[in-house]
Amino acid sequence: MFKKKWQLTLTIAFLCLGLLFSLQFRTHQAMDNNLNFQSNETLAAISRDLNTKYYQLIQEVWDLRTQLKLLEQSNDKNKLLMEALKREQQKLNIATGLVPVEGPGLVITIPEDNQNYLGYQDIIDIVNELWNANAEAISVNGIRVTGATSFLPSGELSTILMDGRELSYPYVIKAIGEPSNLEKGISIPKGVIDLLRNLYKIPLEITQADKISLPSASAPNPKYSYPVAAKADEKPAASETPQL
Amino acid sequence: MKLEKWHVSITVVCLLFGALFTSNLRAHLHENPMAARNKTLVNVIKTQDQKIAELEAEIKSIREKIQLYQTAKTAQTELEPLQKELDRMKFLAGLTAVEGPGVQITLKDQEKAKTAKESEVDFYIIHYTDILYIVNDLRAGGAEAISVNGERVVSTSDIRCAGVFITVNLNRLAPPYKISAVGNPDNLEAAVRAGEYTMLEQAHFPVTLEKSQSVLIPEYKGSYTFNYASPPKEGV
Repeated sequence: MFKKKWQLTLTIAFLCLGLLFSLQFRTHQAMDNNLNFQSNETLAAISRDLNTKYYQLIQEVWDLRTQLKLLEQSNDKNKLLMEALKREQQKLNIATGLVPVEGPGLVITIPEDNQNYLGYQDIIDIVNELWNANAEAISVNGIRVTGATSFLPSGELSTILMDGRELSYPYVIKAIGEPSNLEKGISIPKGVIDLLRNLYKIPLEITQADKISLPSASAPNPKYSYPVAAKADEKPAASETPQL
Repeated sequence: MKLEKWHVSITVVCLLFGALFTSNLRAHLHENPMAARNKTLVNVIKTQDQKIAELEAEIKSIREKIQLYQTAKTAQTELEPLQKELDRMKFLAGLTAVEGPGVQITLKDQEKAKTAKESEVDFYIIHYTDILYIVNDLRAGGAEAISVNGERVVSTSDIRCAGVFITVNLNRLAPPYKISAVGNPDNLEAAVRAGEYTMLEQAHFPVTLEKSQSVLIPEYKGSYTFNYASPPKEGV
């Protein structure tokens, strides 16, 4: 196979080269996905967030255990069973935005500013930061934010469409949650609020409020999705068959 | 000495060999002290990951138990309609795995990200905002359920980054990023192509979008905690 000695040498050299190349590649991959290569600052932030999540999950477990206990004790006493069901219903109603809610929180007001233009993506970012700061419910210009809410630029790009409805200035974003934690959470350096305020000089105002009220959203009406467990018997009659 | 052709080849290979070797060595020397410094924090995070996974598993098991209990207890009683409504609310709140037609989107970093200078890497990697805006576009296209790498996106979900990690519901994701959505496939595709997705495509990111007859979206594993928000006391 190897007619000359140098062919063998070259083959071995290239093999080694390939090996090194793959090693190099692996090192890069590891850097991307390994916690060990993150800065202390990043690790501290990750850990802090996980801690918050941990306590929220503990609370959820606690809630669910209480609910289960009520169920177990209810036997034939429908009152306790009813209480367990109502409790769950209230929580899900808030989660899906189907009931109006009130509570303390934060109000962010963005007045019209002729020099600076606020894009629809800025609103998406602010709402996203508020969820991260543990907001429990949010509205933008009096419209409740739900799992179906979207923000898009209008045709002329000068205004923002929320769920297809045009928003007009001032943009008022309200969030219910612990007011000072909400404010701290969204005011992080290089966060969207910091950038809008200090880099783009958008004159936005943030005020903490003891009580704000948010309206409910209309109920979604899924046509294409159905629960996996119940797909055999509970598939909704789709009003229009999707064309694939 | 007579210079033969293979002399040149070997020289080039050796040079490359050396360069790669040193750069490899450098990468290791550069990172190891940092790794040592961070070891405590990394261990803390790994413990947190584990505890969170345990809690999520417990939540899943209690939710299933409650579901069975409630369904059995309310069957053929006056509470049956309320239970049926709860089932629907859970479905709307993302607490049920769902299936249906939709789209599957895959986002990957560019190959160049592996070789680019540190100051330029940002141009070649997928950022959390790319995913955030695509999720927004999917919602605009009428998505009924969305997940990213199997993590259900619900109303209160946040999509962020921590260092090189993109997180959804604070869970760290590993690339490639797979976004799944259930809804009218044509509407979803049109909405997604009108936004961030096309920007990535034009910037030569290896992204794909496929319509599918059947997309499976897992249930939300996390919590809904409402300590401050409550329905108004008097009247609704």
